[in-house]
Amino acid sequence: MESWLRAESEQIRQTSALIGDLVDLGFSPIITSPTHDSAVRRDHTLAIIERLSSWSRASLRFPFKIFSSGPVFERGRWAESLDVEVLEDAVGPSETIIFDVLTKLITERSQLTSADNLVFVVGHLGLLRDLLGQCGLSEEEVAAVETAFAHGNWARGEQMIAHADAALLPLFRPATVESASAALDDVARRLPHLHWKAWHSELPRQLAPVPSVRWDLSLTGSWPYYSGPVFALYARGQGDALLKGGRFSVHYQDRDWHGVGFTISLPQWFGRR
Amino acid sequence: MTAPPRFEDVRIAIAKGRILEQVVPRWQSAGLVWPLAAESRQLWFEGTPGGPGGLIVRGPDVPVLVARGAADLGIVGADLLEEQGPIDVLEVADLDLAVCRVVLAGIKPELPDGPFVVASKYRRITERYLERRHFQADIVRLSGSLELAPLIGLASYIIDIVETGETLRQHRLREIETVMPSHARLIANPAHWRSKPEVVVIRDRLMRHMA
Repeated sequence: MESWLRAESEQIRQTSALIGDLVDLGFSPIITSPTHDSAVRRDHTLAIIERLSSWSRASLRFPFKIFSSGPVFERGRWAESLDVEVLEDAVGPSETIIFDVLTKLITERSQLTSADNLVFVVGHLGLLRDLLGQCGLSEEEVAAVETAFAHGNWARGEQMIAHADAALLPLFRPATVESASAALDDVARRLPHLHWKAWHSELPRQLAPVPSVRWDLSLTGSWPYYSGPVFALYARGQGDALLKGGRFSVHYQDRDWHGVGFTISLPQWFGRR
Repeated sequence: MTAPPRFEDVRIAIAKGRILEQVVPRWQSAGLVWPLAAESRQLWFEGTPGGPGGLIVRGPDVPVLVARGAADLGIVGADLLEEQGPIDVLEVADLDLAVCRVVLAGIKPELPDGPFVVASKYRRITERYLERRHFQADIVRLSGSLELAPLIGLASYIIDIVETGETLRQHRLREIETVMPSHARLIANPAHWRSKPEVVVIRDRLMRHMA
């Protein structure tokens, strides 16, 4: 009992420190309810957008740096989480802001475990669509590949890609940035309209402090609103991601919302599971 | 130089029974160490530099152990994955082992006409099948010996898994329609798949030695 209470207290203390860091970095809290109209909150992003939609666009200061904390209901259970978002009035370079925050948080998180255990995995829906489209897949076929990956049927996604161009397969499994870049260079020689370095330039250069960064285009994120880079942070040996996020576009009540964000799963972040 | 894969850090949950029997030869032909004797009743073994560790468990528990990260990989029938419903695992290979099918069977080789009673251990698969075929039926949930249900008048049909159909024939039942094909799937915990390179190496080894 004593050790459990100590762990609970430590999680509260460290969560408070995380929130303090976000406030110091200019992020504002948005309080959203875990239940609304008999529905439960499964995701902070949509809850935040719903909450903000009552303000006029003119009253929002873009890029709008916000966060929300509290439990979300996923996979049949409630999980404590902290959600960090940068909203834009048009698609813009918010990755820089988000990756600055991520780098700071990951550097601090690496004090809880060996930094060598952390693996940051990046996918990119824009690159995936461009790549498969240029290999001759129809929009419906590209959507089917995305759906297969999003629903966890990796083997089905791999099978469809192998049918289109087997040389692409190494890009759909975790690979170091160097080997993924070499593979993309090879592909780009055959597909002259593939400007993958333009996609790559959207990705953060400031991720250098993260010990292990990997590319994996089969990482597509679990929410349908993701539209560009998606990412997840894992700790070797832990069976759940510490955080997941990406660029999103949401159409809600006649308004388009764009931004980049991520959700930290707090028990995983603090290594409690 | 690339470091050799650390197989001892990987754990695979394997469904008992037909799948386990067929996995062992594949495992060995993939050059992985299988440390248990054929007659062993041991339910787990440690990983070694020559091969991953194993957990030998009931089929329905395999996806749960993998989703929770207690196992990096799992080998389980497609029928049980479908019955489990949405769960946070990656299906990373069709191992083409333990090939069988979930079927609708009854005493007469005729599709149902009107409301009926069907016995099955697969509630979700049965519900989805009934919906797809626009059948109206009461489902009697049993955990085994389904072949008895039509013989004792409990249900006019059963939905069950068959390999050769011999057990159905022994109980004077006829296979009417395939509900879904099933075979062993290799599943992975998404976090382990993306953070432990040796998990991907083991998947590739098991696939390279397909029969």
